[in-house]
Amino acid sequence: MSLGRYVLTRVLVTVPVLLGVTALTFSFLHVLPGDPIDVIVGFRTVSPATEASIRAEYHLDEPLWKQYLLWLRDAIALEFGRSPISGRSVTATIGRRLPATLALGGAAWLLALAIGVPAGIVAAVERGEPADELTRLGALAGIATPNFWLGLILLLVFSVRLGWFRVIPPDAPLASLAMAKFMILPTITLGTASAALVTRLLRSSMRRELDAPYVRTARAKGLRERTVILKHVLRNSLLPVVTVAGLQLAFLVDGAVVVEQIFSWPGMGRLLVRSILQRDYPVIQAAVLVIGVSIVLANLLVDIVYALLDPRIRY
Amino acid sequence: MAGNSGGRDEGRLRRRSLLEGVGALGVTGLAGCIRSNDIEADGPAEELIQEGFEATEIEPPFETTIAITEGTERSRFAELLEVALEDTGFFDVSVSEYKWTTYLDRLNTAAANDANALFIVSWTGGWDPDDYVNVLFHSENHTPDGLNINHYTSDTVDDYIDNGLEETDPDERVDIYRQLQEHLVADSPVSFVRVSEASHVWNADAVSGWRAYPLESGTYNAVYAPWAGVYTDLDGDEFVGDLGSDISATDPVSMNDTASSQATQLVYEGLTGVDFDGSVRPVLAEEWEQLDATTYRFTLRDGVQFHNGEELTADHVKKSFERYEGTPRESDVYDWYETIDIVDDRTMDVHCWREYGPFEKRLFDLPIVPMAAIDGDRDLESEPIGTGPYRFADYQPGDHWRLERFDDYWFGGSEGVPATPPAETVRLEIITEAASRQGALEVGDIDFSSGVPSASLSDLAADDAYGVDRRIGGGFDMVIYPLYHGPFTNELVRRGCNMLIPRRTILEDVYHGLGRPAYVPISPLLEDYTDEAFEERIAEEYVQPT
Amino acid sequence: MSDRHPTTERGRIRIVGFDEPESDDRDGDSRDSSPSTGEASAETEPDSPTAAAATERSAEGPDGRRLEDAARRFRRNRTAMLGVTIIAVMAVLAIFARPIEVSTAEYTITLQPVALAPHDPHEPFVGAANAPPSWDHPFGTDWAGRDQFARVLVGGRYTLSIGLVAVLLALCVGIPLGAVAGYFGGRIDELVMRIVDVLYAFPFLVLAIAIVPILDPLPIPGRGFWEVVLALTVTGWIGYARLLRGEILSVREREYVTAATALGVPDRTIIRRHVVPNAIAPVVVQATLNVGTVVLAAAALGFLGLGLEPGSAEWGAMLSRGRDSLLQGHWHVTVFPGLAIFLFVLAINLVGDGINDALEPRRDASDDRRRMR
Repeated sequence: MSLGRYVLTRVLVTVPVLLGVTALTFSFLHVLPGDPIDVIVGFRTVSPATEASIRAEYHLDEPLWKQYLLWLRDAIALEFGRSPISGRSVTATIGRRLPATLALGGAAWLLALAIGVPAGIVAAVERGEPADELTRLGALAGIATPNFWLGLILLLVFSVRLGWFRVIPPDAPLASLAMAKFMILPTITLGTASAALVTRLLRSSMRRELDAPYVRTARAKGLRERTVILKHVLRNSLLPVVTVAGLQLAFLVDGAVVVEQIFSWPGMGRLLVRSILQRDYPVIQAAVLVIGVSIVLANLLVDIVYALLDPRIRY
Repeated sequence: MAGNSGGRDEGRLRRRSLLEGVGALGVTGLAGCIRSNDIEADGPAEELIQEGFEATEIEPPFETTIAITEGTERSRFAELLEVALEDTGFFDVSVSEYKWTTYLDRLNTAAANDANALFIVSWTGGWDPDDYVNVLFHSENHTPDGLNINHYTSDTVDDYIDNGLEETDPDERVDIYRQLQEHLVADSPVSFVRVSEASHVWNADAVSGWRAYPLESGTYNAVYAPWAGVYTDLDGDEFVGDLGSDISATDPVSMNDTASSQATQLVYEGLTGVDFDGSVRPVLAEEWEQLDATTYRFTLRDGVQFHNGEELTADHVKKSFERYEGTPRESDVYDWYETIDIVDDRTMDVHCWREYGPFEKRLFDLPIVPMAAIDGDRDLESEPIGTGPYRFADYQPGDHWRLERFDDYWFGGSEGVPATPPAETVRLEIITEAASRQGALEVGDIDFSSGVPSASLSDLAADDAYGVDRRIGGGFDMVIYPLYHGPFTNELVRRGCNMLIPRRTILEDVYHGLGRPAYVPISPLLEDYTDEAFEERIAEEYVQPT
Repeated sequence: MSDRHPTTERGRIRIVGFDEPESDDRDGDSRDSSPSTGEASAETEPDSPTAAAATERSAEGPDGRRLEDAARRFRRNRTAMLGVTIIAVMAVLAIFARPIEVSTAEYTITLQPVALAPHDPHEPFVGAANAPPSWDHPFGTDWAGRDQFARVLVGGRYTLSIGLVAVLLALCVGIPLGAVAGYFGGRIDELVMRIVDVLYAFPFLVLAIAIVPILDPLPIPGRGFWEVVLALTVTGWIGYARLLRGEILSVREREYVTAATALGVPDRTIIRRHVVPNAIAPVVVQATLNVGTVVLAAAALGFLGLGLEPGSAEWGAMLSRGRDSLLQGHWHVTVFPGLAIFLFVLAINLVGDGINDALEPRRDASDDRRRMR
């Protein structure tokens, strides 16, 4: 199968999944107990005029399937209406929050690679040696540490006690030095578990590569071990590591929900928790949808990139 | 009873043991030991409860729940109450925690659904005694219309409340409210547990001479309130304070949460103000006189400008009041308001439909807004506009709220207070975690906080780098009994429970001494209504019989 | 269409065990299945010879020598045995920390009379509030002067049972669905896997906190515990279903299955007797590892205020409730429950790795782990 056809098939498979994601997000409002209108206004008493306008805005008088289609149409146009709680445009709110979470998640992912790749190499090369065992335990420790615990302790020690960092984000644009400095602790908190996963993954994928015939050939040719490992083995073993980025996204979002809470980070995770507490359903819906669709699309992208990079894998 | 090494009171039941059993179903029968659970009343409180159980023909232990909303302090409060009630053997108690909004629903529907739960709720009153009783105990205020959550109904109490409201003679009012309080404690539809206390902490480098306003909503009055003769020396162009939650509304007709009031305190002004000691002071009104029992003539201050450039007139006042019609806060105005006759631009007669004791104090909470908002050209929810010393700059939900100095503010300076507000901008950071508020203050991210964990207050007070001011506030924590359910229909049971509440322990171990034990509804902030001698007498008679 | 046998995965990447190179057929397997494939390929009947050949563990069946070998390998794995020891000690401590009693209105039945911990974990003011560790209270006391040592020991009951119950329930949903989808394929497979794909688009915590407002108004007895377990189950089963289905795709074309089908053995029996037992190994490994994940997730839920009843001695609840204490310098209030969680999850991971090495020495558990949450 050609690359083009593979990509096409892959995209086509994604469509029903996306529809499912939107349907699930949409139905959320309707499986909650009570009239959706009460749910939307947070069970407050509202004037009949307001109620009518909300009914119109959410098309509540239409049959359910039509509500879904109308909602879907608005969602595709990124038009999520206004939050009944804050009266602000939901799209604008999310547009402001999303970059913050992307920045934090991106930084954490880079950190995970920066720690996980060298550690994975050492573990694979020193197979069975103390260094390997040590890395393995280190990685397990990273997985076993509750991230909010780690975050709180970092915050306590480095911000509150030592005063090196701020406790709440500075009043500065996202792309500024002050923000970058503030991001250090949340990045470490969020990146630790991912680093552990990268380590374990790279270790096993490198081990397989190390036993591959071409490595034996390269060694036989008298290439330096360092060259063999860094130039050949690592390059091939990194592929699977990078491709799990899409899957790690879900993992990072989970972490972000908690970490943003600790560091008052103005991202999607905090928005989600806050809107749950306030029962701001239009915001919850939009946030959950954005997260779900991003993950589906990220997986699609990764699959396509993977197929591009590795021509063996195509149908 | 061999094999029982629990070392606890025989009669005490353990609900948790069922859950704990999950981990050890395998050992069933290994060391089976059965003992019976007999319950005997011990002490006056338990005797009352026993009598009440017998009267209602309910077999102890009675299973019930303490329903709370989230929060460390609230859950600790509940845990101590749970232990106190379970120790009697008459109750088998669990604690359920709800999200705030769910909790509100439960409160609103508790009586209608016959919810078997004790609710722990904080109530914030104000400067008038009516604020502490009317909406909670009057039979016209049953949920969902009011906040009489357990649908308490007593003609005597209704009469006291109505009379107190319409009484304008101060001494008579004191009498009425003292009798009312005693009646409420004797009947115990709820237990009053703790009077709240405002605790304000600031960074001594940036702030000096801060005064704590007793009511939470007025926290930021201390920045600059020339009408009360108060302002704070602030170092630097920007003052950074904090808010404990998001601001949910900025239009006065729909504001009813603390953060919203705190945030808009420096933006809006009313005709009168209540200063830091509880005296009524003129704000937008220059002076007023009572023409007859229900009519007041007001003269407005000259040259007052709104942030949008409009000049204050009597018409603004009339329209601002009438805006409340059909809004969530309608009763704030229409509880007394009949009409306003405009005499000239600066003079008007306010007619009340009844004599109204709290009249002058009520005007404090009724901001005057510009025509642009009244006509609907401007939306106060997206941009609050008032006459205050600071004007709205921007708001990012979840992040911060920012105000900037209003250059055309009416105040011209006096001996004690300068003509210009102290800081160019006021920024309030929204920080929901109490621990983070303290952290942010210690690191210097904020200059001031009104929500530092109570446990840290004594340390901070001892540290020269910080200033702390504490004042007994206008609110209380209470336990609401399900009057409509089980043994709680009987007032003896409620009185017994009221006696059992470990007020001291709760105050010391949950709130670290912040506040005082409460026995009556009206805060000692209103000294005339609740003084020490009165409180002591009530406590001795009904709560701690020796 | 290539002549490779169908993928074990769809709509998502899957990189099956980075096996040793000597098992060439398996190597092929891993390559094929790496990227997800389109619908078309998944529909194809796996008639290629490689599928049937890809058997290194099928012939002997699930029982007998293979299990014995696995057990022996496991026992020789020192770190895994360390993990088992830690868990066993924790479980014993949890059970024997305090007596276990069941109360009714009239009677209290003592099931377990031993008390290793000197104090009742719920009894307030057995010591001063927030006292640091001392001889009487080795882990100090909490805000209400309750003995932390007793609380941490007894807390194991909640934490261990949440982990166990949530994983078992998720397995009860995931295994049948995965087995049916994998064995029958076609429409059922299509349906189940689409649901899995959709649910997979939502990160676990996001799904769990979205579920909570739906559960919140329901009258659930012991609400905290079951709410958490329910949220963890709803989000947990998809992993097992996906994993098992993938395994079954590679098992169902083996000779013994074909033979059984030819002999007219009913599908149910084939699935129960032959298919699932041969495909279950990675699921077992995954489930073991997930006990740890679930415990961490429950703790995170507790941190967000969606966990157990306040005041319960569950480790996650103790940890998140103690965060104010941390700032006030009462380090012991959070450190001990934190360490308990850490140690338990670490031990579970050691055991999980050990089981993996024992059952399938050629497969690396981390490959599956990264897909699980």
